[in-house]
Amino acid sequence: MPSDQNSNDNIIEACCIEHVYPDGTRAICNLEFYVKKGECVAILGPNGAGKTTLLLHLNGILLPTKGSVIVKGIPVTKRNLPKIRKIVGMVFQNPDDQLFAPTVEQDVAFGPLCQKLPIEEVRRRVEWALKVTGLEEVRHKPPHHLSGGQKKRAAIAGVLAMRPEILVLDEPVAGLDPESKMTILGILKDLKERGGLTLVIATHDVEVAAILADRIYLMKNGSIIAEGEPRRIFSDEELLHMASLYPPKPIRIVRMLRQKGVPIPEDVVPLTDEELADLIANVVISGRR
Amino acid sequence: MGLFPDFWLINEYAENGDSPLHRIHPIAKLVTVLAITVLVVITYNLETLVALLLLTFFLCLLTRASPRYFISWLSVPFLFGFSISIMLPFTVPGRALLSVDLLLFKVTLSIEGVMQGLIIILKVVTAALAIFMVVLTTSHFELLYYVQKAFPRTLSVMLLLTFRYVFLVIDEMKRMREAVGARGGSLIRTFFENIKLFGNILGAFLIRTMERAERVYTAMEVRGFDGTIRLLSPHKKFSATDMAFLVSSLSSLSLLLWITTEVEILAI
Amino acid sequence: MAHIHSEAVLPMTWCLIWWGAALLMLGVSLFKTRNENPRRIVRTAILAAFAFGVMQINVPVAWGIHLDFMPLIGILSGPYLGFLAAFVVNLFCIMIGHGGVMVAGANTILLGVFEAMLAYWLFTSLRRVIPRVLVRGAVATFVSLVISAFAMVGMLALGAALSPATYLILLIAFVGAAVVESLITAVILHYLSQMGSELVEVK
Repeated sequence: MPSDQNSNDNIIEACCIEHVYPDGTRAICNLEFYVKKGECVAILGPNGAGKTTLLLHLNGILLPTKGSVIVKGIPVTKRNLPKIRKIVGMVFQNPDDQLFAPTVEQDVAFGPLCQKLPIEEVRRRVEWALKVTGLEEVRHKPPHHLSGGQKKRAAIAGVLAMRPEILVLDEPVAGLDPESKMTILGILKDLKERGGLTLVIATHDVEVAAILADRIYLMKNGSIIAEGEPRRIFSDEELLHMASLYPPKPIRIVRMLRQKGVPIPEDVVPLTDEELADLIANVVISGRR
Repeated sequence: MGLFPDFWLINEYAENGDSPLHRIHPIAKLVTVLAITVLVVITYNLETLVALLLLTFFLCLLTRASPRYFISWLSVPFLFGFSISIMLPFTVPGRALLSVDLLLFKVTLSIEGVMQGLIIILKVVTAALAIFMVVLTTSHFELLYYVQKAFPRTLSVMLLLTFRYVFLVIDEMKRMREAVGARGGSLIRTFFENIKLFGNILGAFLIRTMERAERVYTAMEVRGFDGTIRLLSPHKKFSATDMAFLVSSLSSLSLLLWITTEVEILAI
Repeated sequence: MAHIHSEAVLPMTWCLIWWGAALLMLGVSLFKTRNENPRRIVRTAILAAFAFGVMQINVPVAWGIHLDFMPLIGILSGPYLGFLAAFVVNLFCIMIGHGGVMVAGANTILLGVFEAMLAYWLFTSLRRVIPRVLVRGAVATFVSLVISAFAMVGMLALGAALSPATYLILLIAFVGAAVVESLITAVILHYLSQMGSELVEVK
């Protein structure tokens, strides 16, 4: 871990940061946090763990009371905020806080227009962002006419139009119906794999981490209690329990199968439904022989 | 739609309906309405007012909306106009239209008073219909866009944000009303208890609203907001049809004015 | 509340005069807020949305009336932002049929000057005399609403030729509504100061 932390392709590095609120509550303590370019990092933890507080440091909405945050080599300070915010785009938890323009199209255009780009470029970016998020049909609708999933996508589109290199999302699929959830996870996966975006996602939904994350940070009570690859983190029952989390369903099922005597090797950790189905199919088929 | 207008429905109709008026450029409609309103305010001539009402009524027919919309829209202005003019027949001196003997009093309605009351009501109704015709056939964003173009930036920002968040406020209020209703409604308490209840609910709501305002501002700032709102212009060009509409409505107004007054200058 | 609910009630000359006054005040307010922190502008806009939204409900107290909360906005946002908010709220009222373009000048003066600005000035100048927020809020709101009610009736008297009985009825209705609104505003302000909200001392 230390060697990775100093590697040159870290796009975000946060060292020893701490944030204390005006009323004295210490929200996060002594955090070491890094993100490599092009990867997806999930910050998992229960509500109140400090995930949102950490996220707000990544584009300078909050400045740490101790320590520093460096994005692409640029330290996050008041003076550098405009530069930082061109690189880091943030999607907040509540889309209604973020969709403040009269129509979807106007909201998506807001960022590029504020960047004072030429009109042609603005329109190009708006088209692209609407296409990526599948919102072309509703571009002229006011935000209050949109469904929850559409609002979330519109919020993402608004940030995408600014062409950030890093996309930070706070609880991207909380409260959405299953179909919307899968649509958005699909969009995010696509953005990472084909668009080359770096993703940082804060969530308490382990399934999101299982599907998207290359690395996971576990947080509790303002501290990071673990960091590592999803398969390793999710296999550690005690660790998850400390963070008030359950492992993703496929892993729980495998655990139950092992308890019932099905011989599954310890290093097999299925993260998704597909992997679980493959595993079970193999076991059943080889068992028949 | 009951006695009062349902703005959701009106908004729906404006955004999704289709009628000859829907297709006319907002500026053409706004100028027409302005002209009608100015005339309505200036004139005190009964024939002119009736003619103006008929013209406006015709324009409303062009919206192809059902009468329910218009009846509900007119309820408030009509009630207001009626309540301020109801006393006029009784107090304005003139030739008697109708006299009633009530015990010791003789109550007289004067023709002049009735006429004056009628004039007020005609003005109020015509002006309300004129505005409604625009509201019903123009998407709110378009209306807002052209209006805010005329304003300096502080006002523009306020106009656009207030517009967006009014809908959220109304939604929350609906939810609050349901929540209060589910817990036993408000008729059970005394006046002062109601005031306290209402004040506290609204106070909590206000704080939530303020916290939301902070988050909204943060979201705007993070995307580069510097105090000026910039918008993409809606793609409408002023076409020949729009010009034709404008010209014909303005000339109808002039014609109507000339016929009913024979080019007299109207009382102010 | 004390505003002219429909178009075409005032004659053109008066409409123009009041519009002139409103434009003047608009100019003053825009000038005074030209360097205003955008955060406060956004906050005032959302407060205006709050006021406008709440204006649409009928308070289920005694008889159904509706409040306009312009005094509260003036107290919370300051006089100049408050005046701008009044103007914006007026515009929206026109779009829903509760006012008119010609009378908007008069309405803006009523809501902006007589309710929002006046309430603000009363609230702040009475700070030594009445330290308790609850009472101060009620007094500031009540006085400004009553004065604006008289102002509105005055405008009507100057402009339209209506009977005195009408004026009397309007005044009684407005003063009654003023009582309810000032009590509710007082409770709201009290609640805000109890919650330690920094809003109440916003200047």
